Amino acid sequence: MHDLQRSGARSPCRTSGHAGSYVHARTLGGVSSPDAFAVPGVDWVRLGPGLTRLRRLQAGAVLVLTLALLAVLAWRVPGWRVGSGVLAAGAGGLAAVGWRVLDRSVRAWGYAERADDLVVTRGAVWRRIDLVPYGRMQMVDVSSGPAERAFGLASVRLHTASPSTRAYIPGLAPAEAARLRDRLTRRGQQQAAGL
Amino acid sequence: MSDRGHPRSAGFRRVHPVSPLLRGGLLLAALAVTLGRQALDGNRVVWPWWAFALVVAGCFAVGAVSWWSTRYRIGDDELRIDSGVLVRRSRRIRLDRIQAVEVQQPFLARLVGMASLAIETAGGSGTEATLAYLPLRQAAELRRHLLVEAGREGGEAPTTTASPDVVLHRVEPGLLLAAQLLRTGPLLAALGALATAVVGTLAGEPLSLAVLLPLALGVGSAVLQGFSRGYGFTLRRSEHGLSVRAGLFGVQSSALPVQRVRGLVVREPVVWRRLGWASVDVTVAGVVVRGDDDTRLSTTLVPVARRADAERLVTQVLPGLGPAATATTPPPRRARRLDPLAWRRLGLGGDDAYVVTRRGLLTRRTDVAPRGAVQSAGLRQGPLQRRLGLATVALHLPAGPADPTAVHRLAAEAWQLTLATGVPRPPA
Repeated sequence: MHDLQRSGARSPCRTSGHAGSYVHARTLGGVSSPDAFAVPGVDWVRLGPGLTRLRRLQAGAVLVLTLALLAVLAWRVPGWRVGSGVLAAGAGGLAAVGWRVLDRSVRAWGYAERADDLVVTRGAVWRRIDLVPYGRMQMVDVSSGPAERAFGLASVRLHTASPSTRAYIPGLAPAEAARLRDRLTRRGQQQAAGL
Repeated sequence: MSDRGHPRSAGFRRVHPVSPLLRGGLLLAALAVTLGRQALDGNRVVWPWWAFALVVAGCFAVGAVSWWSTRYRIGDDELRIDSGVLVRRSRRIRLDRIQAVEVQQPFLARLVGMASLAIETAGGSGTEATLAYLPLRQAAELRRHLLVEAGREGGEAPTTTASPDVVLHRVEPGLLLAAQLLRTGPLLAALGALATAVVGTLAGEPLSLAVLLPLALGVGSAVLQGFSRGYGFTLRRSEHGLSVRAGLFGVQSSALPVQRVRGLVVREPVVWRRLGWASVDVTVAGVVVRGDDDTRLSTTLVPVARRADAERLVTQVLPGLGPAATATTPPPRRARRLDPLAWRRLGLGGDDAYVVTRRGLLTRRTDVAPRGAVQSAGLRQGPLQRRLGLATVALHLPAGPADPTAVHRLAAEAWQLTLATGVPRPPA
């Protein structure tokens, strides 16, 4: 069943650099997760680096806006020079931490298509694994916002009859997202169970 | 009734002509209050009387037109409701898709013997359609008819010999009132008031009414609401399944389709537990609960009952739920470091058919999920849990009060529980 060999159990989590590598990673059996949260028999397909780039760009834009605002404050409002300096340093520090955190959190994301269910994992510190049996799926959405489209990304969301289901995979290549949706839908039809 | 020729008129009916009056009742009351205030204020009239007359007349006109333009028809396999003047709208509801039909009697409607029908289907967010108002007898008949039609799919043929309804449980008003008073909320409020009073006295200030009055009003209204909603709560078994009826001012009665029960939660607030009382709510597929406070009738199995009664009622909706399933095991001892107060109350148990979880410090809750109803599972692990090798698993059921969550389980056990999701229900 799922007793696929975990290849390179202690290999670093880094997926290789070029976009779309995770598509190949899937066909090669996936990139194994390095830590204990990886459960035996599950080989996670990790996200490519595109999502990290997008998130970093978004965070950078927020940082630039904040800094610009603080600069205007320091320049125009008397008595704000020190305060805005401190705030700017804080924002910079936050961004430096965020730079790493974004990468870690994107890299913690992964999914695995098993025989009877889809498993999605996310979160580097507060981690979660969501398991959705194919037979329970009601809908599979593929969506891609303007920013995501610019980076060639799409996300897949699964819906069941329960509103609590949170199975969401961002940062896929649109073609792979569409393929995943089709595979999931097909398996859902094959294994359909009632509510 | 079949579709006889002319679709515009054949078989169509309207709700009772008094309906717009009842629906506008609230507005009229608001107007009366405003007028009364003005009369009390006396010296200055802000709005002339004819403005009110105009508003009232306008409301009547709108109500009358909307009544005239709304018609319904029950066909062989669909309920059709046409409405609207400028934008015509024709809604058809397939009878075999109807999940539940509620007869509701708000206070005003009850005074004149009217009732409304709320019709629910699966997947809709909220009530699919409302027919308001019909004479009570007609509403009850229509509900029965709709349920029989809807039940046909499940192989529940309408029997001709009407067996009498069996009353499974009735809640005594005294117990209900006591239970409302002894809930956790009112108790905490009373403790808070006491603390305020003690501190105030020590500080040399007399008891401040400005603090106590809103508190008392809030608690009082909550208690009264719970009491009036659950008054005379009766659970019956008839040939069409379980049905529930309750209410002091506005009486509601609704079906509780047992074959659609997808989960259950038993709640025991801290004082109730000492007295051996519990409340039971069920998750019913297709009956959506709006908001946290809105425990509607069709999701309440019993608002309060002695434990033995509660257990008996639970087996009515979840057959085969025995002590083997409800016996839960606590999490490992090291969970007390994460939850020193309530870790003893945590638990997970179950058998082939059900999963049972327990949690809660003040209000203890026991959630039951039929394995076949679990839609998906979410395993969570925070940094502290990771250090201790523990994890929390939530089992996702269709929308409703039940929310089975196994807190602080051993990681391996948590993963096992997650993996068990989607294992088909063994044949009963």
